[in-house]
Amino acid sequence: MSVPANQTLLATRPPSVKATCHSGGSSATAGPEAPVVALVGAPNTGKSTLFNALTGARVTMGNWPGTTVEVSRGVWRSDGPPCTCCGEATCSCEGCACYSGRLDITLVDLPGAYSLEPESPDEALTRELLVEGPADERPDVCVLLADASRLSQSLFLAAQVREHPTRMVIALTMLDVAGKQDIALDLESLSKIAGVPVVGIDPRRRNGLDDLSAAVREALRRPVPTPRELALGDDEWALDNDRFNWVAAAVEAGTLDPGKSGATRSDRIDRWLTAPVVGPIIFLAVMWVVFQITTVVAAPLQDGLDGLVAGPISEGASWLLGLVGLGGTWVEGLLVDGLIAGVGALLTFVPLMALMFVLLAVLEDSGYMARAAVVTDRVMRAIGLPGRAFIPLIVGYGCNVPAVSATRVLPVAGQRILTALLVPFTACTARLVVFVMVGVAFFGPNAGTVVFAMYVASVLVIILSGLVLRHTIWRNQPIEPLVIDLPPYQLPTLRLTASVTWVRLKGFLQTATGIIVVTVAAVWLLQATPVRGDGGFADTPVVDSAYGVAAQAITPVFAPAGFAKWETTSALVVGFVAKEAVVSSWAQTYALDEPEEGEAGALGDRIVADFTESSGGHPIPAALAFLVFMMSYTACMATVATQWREIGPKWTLFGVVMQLVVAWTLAVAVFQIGRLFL
Amino acid sequence: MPLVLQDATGAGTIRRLAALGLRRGAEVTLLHNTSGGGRVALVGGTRVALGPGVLKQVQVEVAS
Amino acid sequence: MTTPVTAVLTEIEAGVRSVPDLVSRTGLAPDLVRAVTDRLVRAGRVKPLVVSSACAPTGCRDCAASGCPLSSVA
Repeated sequence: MSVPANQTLLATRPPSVKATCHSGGSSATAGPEAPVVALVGAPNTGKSTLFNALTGARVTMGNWPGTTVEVSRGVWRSDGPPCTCCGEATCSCEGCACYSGRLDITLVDLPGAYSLEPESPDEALTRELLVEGPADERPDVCVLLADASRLSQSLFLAAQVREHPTRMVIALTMLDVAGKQDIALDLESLSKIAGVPVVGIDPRRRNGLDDLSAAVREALRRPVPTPRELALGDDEWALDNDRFNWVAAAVEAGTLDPGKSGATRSDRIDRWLTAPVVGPIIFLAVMWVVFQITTVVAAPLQDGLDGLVAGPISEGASWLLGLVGLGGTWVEGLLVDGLIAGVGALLTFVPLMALMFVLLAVLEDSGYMARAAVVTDRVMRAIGLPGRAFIPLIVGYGCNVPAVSATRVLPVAGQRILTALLVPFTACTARLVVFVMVGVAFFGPNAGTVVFAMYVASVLVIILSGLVLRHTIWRNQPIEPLVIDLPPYQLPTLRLTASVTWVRLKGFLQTATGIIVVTVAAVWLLQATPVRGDGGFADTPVVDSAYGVAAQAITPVFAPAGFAKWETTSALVVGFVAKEAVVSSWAQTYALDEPEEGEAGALGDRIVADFTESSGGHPIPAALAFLVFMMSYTACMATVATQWREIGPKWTLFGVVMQLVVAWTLAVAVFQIGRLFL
Repeated sequence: MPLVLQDATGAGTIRRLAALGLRRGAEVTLLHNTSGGGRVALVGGTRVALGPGVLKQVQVEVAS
Repeated sequence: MTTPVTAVLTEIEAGVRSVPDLVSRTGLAPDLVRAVTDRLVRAGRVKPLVVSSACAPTGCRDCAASGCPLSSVA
């Protein structure tokens, strides 16, 4: 059984723990007749700590021959009760296998493994040494280290070991960590159901080691156990399913019920948070705070970034281009006014998005999200969405871009997609600017009412669209009844929140930047390319450019809606790029100055005149139709980019088409019907 | 209060309820009402909010 | 529950992203769901999106910030 030091192991035989390779002093071996115990377990479960605690200095370490895997071997010397047959402290009976008294055990620390199905060289070696090879070359007992705070994962390995004729003792560590997580264990029940002795230990404090020694001795006295029976289904994961069933049964038996405590402080809070009347009020208040933060708090940060991009960065780029002799050329136009401005606009969303992600994380982590889902459930159920869908929709009224990202709170992909398609119908604050300008121009003192009506209309559009989508595309998705686990309240962890937020931000920027660059370049190119007239490349009036010609070509589409003027169409196209730019570019097409905020000015007068003409004398219905169209037709480029990232290109394009159809239909309806009355 | 599930609102729901501890014979403490006509139940240390649809399907006997 | 791995994988492929949501949708204990997802990750069927320092040593149980974003590779 033992191989002298100067002999190499035969390569054809599987390695064996019993072939001791003497590479250290004799203190590192317990002799060829000593029982061999192998330590197995996942990495980071305290295996090495236990090994050191049991073997002290009597250790040799080194690579297992022929591998790069490190395996430690040592002598575990322990004292036990005297031999029952001869009564001596050290058993001297001939051939007595009582394992009592002073006992030296060869302890082998096998490489860390999560599974006996080898996923790495370490695990392959562990498997070979533990379960492969002839019986007399395998360890006599396997001590499996299980982490009590990750019990199911640890016991998975135990389930696998139980598939082999191997004696096993489970040593449970990290009991203090489990205690902090409110996990209370009943080792006896666990042991009974698992069919394996279980001992609780703390290697660092050297607790439970005597119990472990006794358990190992007892195991040595027993015959090798029969492998456990498997109950296999016929699917791909049949074996693992069976293993996890075994694990689940053992864990359930071994976990103590935390007890039926009565109402706690958490319940008192819940009473209010989910109450029939107060609950929704509190929810709306929380939503208002979220809304405020994503608009008001983010605004100065956004302005700051905006100023940075429009100021130093753009000027710096212009200056650089001037150095290279490209100042004032179309290159500068494309680079500075186009790309830098476009990507810069995207960057200004970063504070907004970051705040959004942080808020979502806090709401979820603290446990409030579950209560909010209960409160909003009934309302959202009517549209066929779960309660949590309220959150992205609310956020959308501030800005659609973070709102699309907020759809991540929904667990199911179908719900996420549906909600993300509805988000652009929420009237974000950028649209508000245009609403106000047009409202003032056409309705004077009644502008406020009209704008409010637009908001109400947007809610109706959302509800109706949601219902239609729900009953067509998603009609097969069942509406689950409300069963929500209310987790205990806890303080969100800063480190985790920050880390997750950073990853999400990075993802958003990566995808969105690509789309923005492409779109800005395309628009700029169209505007720079002369199609008629005598302007040169990048030197042509907009009306003669490809862009202008295209806008004029599209314009007749709006005739049934009463606002078929190419300047208006152009404003809508700009609105796709960014709603904030609509008013200024609209003014540009008329070569007018931008009006003061909140007024309509000369631009307003001009628009009224144009609308009167295009609608055949019915400017008011045309204005309403325009507002309705503006409200629904599409969100800005950044939103589409975010949708592209969150729900994929196919659904994003579907959404764009759907919105254009809805917007056009509504606008035409409003104009044609309104024309009869106003 | 021992709890008996009368009818399946769907196999998935029964499974979910069972996983949260609401099984045949389980002891349950009913806590406060929630908006929308639901109720919060305390079972085995876990608090679960149940909507009205589920509540209708669940039969409960009051324990003495 | 007789097919824990299949159940969890089905939910992940249906788009469920967070461990707490997997728990409520499969009806399995949280500790078990974590063990199953670890197994699926090691088997290469599922890819964790946020790894390393964000995955706290106490495990996925506390990674509740909009869930531990697993994504299906299969």
